[in-house]
Amino acid sequence: MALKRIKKELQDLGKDPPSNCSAGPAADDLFNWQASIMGPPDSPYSGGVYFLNIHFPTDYPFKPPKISFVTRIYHPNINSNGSICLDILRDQWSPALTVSKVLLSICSLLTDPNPDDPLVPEIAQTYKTNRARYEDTAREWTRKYAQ
Amino acid sequence: MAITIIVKNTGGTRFEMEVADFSETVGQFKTRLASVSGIPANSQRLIFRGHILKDSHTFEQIRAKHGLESGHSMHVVPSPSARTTPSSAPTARTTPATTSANPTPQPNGNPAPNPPANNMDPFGTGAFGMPGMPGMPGMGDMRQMLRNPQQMEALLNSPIMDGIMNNPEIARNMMMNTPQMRELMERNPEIAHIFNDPSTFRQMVQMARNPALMNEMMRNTDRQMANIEMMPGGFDTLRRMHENIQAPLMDAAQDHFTNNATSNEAGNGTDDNPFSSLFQNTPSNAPMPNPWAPNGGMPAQNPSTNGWGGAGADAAGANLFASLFSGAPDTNGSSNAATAGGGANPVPPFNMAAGMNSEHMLRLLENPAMLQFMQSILSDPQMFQTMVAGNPQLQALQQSNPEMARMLQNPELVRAFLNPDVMRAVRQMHDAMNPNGANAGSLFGLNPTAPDAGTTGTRATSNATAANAGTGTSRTPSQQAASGQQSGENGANRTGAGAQHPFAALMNALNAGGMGGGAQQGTQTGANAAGAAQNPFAAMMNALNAGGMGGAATTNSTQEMTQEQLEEMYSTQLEQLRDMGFLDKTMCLQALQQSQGNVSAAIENLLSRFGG
Repeated sequence: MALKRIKKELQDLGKDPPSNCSAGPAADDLFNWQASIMGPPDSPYSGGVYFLNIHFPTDYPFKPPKISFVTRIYHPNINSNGSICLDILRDQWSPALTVSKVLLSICSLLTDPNPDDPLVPEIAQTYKTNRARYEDTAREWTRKYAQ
Repeated sequence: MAITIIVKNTGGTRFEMEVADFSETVGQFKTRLASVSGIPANSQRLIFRGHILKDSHTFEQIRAKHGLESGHSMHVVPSPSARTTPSSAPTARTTPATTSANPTPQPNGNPAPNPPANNMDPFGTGAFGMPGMPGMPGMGDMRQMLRNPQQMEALLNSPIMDGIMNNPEIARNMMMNTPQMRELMERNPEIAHIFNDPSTFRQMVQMARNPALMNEMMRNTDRQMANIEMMPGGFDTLRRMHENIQAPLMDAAQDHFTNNATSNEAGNGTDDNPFSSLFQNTPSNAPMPNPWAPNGGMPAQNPSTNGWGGAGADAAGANLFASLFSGAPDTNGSSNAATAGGGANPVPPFNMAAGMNSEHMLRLLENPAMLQFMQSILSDPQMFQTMVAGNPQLQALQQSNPEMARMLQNPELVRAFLNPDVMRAVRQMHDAMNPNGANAGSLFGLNPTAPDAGTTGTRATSNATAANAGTGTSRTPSQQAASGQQSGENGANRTGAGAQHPFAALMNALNAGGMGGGAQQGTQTGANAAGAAQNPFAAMMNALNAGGMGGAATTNSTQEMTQEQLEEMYSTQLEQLRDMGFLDKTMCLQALQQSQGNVSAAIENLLSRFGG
């Protein structure tokens, strides 16, 4: 069942992927995908390409996929392990969501970080108090790791 | 064999590229792409299915490894070196600093319900009235109100409406608490589906706010219908639609009407009841087999050519629904633009008054939706002021009576009155003192001759008496409140005629406030206004009745359906659920039935059953 759904999503993604996300199986195993997100133009991550790993549980879509950043990124809601703090990847998951929608959510998280629910408190603090410094650092990391 | 690949850049531009030779390398492909996209080949990064394509790879390899097929999309991202080239150096380095300082709202990932692409649905306009009128006064008032498009618009544009619109739960609650609506929804899952979609609801309200848009929508529907009819087999489809959706809807409504009519002991003249005229007139004017026949009887019956009325007339030929609804109020002798708006609004049929008694009232007050609603009004004192200001009767009262004005401006007092606990207390007091309801009014001698609010003729007698009874006792708490809040300042006024009674008027105002500003229009009109003013409780109850939530009564018709029927009815939803991996048809059907066809709700339901 999970496989059928994953195949369907892959098919849909191939035909009509979101404008700045892309995803597909990393190798032969359809339960492990690799995805890339192009840094949104209106964010300090612009110009970067971020790679992510997606692991589907066997009971997908009833359980959310596990998604983590491979590329390092300076962001209040993403830590150095690449873990993402996003509600729809946890308790707000719904079987109606797809990889494509989740990736889009991550894109919007890049544009609009959520400093009130941070995974890296220091970055959240910088984001709140010194936006310019946050953006400079984020741009620098983008240049260093994502280009 | 050549395949076509779509290459998208981050700005959303698409380039269609053909790959004829699969031994072509990515590097060669980039050179070709450079001439189309303007991005130099050496600074392109091509991404397919999450992988960056290496220059040395051939398309044969990509096809084997990533399953590339014709029609698939790739992304191209310029790498930093592209920025250093003078020709295409975008200023992305500097712009983000300014733009992200003002982050624009981004969609979060939750799947927003897709707004209906086009208002194909013939109920679109009709359905609007039901959810859109959560706080309307009784039948007569309703019609009066609809005759004034400005009022209608003002009402729809009020912040309260926005609040309701932004909270689909409230609207849904209201609808689900109305037995008539529930019945309709149970019989017609399609309609239920419409109501379960907050965006549809929003669209409908927006449409109603804007006559031009309404007009446009009507015309659209009209055009669509015509188009469908043109297609081979289209007419059959239309006919089926008519038989499956419209006829049951009408039946349901008609059923309800007849039920209502029997309970309305005061013989309603046809003229008083928009619904009776609706159903007496439509069948003869719109021959059933072909309700979309051009030049049906309806346009002739609808003399109005302006505003919404015009839209109704336009659509009438092709859209029985439009004509059905626009025809109804017209038979009541009004021909101005707003009536057609009323026509598109089937609320008038739903006379909730009959079902109202003290028990329901109590239950209603306990209804969380009601509480929420009250709170939203309480939190916006300005809204209340606006409503007071918009009511000429109240204004007159205020002018003649400065104390009154002061009272109305005192948010504390208003709040006290809107407090559900106070209302409940009043109600309980009423019950305790007055087991015989109807006699109380005359017994107390406070309001023996006042025309009761039922005189508009559309209200059920039973309600009128109950409401009347309410007056008898409503004074007591009013007085209590007065001594509590205003230390009897108004004592002198209290002896005045009923209409001068500040509390009566206040209650009246509260109606308008509490019920979403609907009652205010009603109270401006003639005898009914006087009745309402003298009879605060009646007016209040009327407002509550018409409030759409009025039918706290839980008389659901539980229709037993066979699985086959359900399957047929929910076929699209079932399909969606199956796509998501819910394969147990029986469970899906149960869930869908419980959620009235709402797929998201059904999923919740199913997941909770899985013990998720």
